Amino acid sequence: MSAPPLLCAALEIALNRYLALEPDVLAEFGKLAGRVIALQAEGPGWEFFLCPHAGGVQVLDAFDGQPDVRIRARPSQLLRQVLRGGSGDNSPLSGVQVEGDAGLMQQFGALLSRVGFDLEEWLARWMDGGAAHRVNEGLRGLAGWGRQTASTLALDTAEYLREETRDLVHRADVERWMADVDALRERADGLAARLARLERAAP
Amino acid sequence: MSDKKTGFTDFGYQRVPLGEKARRVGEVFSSVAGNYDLMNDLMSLGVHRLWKRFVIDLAAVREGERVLDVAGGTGDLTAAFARQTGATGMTVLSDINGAMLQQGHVRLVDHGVVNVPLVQANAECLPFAERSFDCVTIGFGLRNVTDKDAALRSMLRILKPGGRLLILEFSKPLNPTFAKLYDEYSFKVLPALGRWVARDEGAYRYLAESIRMHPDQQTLKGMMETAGFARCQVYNLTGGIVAVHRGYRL
Repeated sequence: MSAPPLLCAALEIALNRYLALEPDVLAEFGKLAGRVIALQAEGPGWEFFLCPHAGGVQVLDAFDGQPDVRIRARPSQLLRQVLRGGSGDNSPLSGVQVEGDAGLMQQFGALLSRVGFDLEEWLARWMDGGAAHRVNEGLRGLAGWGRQTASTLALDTAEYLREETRDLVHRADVERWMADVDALRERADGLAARLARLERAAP
Repeated sequence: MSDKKTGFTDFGYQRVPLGEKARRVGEVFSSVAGNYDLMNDLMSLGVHRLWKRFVIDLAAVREGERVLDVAGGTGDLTAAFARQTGATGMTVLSDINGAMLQQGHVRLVDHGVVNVPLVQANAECLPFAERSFDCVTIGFGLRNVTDKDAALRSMLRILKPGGRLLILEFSKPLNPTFAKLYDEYSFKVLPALGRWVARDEGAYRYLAESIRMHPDQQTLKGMMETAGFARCQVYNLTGGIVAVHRGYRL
């Protein structure tokens, strides 16, 4: 089934904006011109046709002809498979079916993975370099503070549930308790075996 | 749609001689040029800016490319493309109507865009060399062209191989109930707005009628394919009130 045209357009615009961040990578897309990658999303059953060219990627909802490679998978798996090309591994992930030239898929993914997003460079389009640097540093600091705060909150919550409300237990206590259960089970098995032997020995 | 056999074509719901449509369309736009942008915002409640943004994004114009905005009117698309093509590329604003071009020139200068050549030209016979543009756009202009097939062929001719044409135009709503509401709005509210704001009710009645006479999404797609465009796609916006058609010269 054809993918909704507006979804194709959204995918194409997003991909081309992403690629525009790295002009060198964009230029290399020209080497893939004329090749076609079909992505078939299981579930909705939509099929997207990716046509790389020197200016980026065209995403079509229909294609007259045979694509060079067709990849079938769930949408999340499709994305992982395409981006995996950057790792140099073109073997299909579990649940992904690949028909045709898997090398093309790898080349496409490798080019995508070479694009890096530099927030400072992006901000510098709208403000001077010094201001872009300060905003970037500020946002990094904010993100770091957010991660630290979230981590501290998680630790404090776990500690409160363990030490104050006693709803949770320490990992060491659980492991000790499980070891005790295992030892008890072994002794019970030994006792059962001994009783069985005594019963057999009794006249 | 034009009919070369009968020698008559549509001007809204009227039939007029083929040679007369361009003049009458010219009169309409000369009359509304001064209020064109204000009316666009009022009629579409500002949504026309999103439709144009979609075309700009879909065109994916790059620095160094050559872009032609046909029937570019007051230059909304042209201004965006001029920034994208940069100093190494070129964006040309073209319109058949001198008054609209004049408005476009003023608007571009107001936006700080001063390096755009203006060309008064008929879309049916564009005065440019073959294979000279990477991208051609026509926004809300094709329905006013007398011979749309000739315009499509003309735009194909000036595109480089691999170049793309994007047509932004009113089209047919996909939902019948929505279409009825849209008809009520088009034939009652639009002429009233035209009367109060642009002091020209007839021009906005023509707008509503010309939209109904314009080919629907699939017909226009077929016309593009017949003209020689490949990989033609249709994107319906706002329930089909507007559609963007894109095709490539391969």
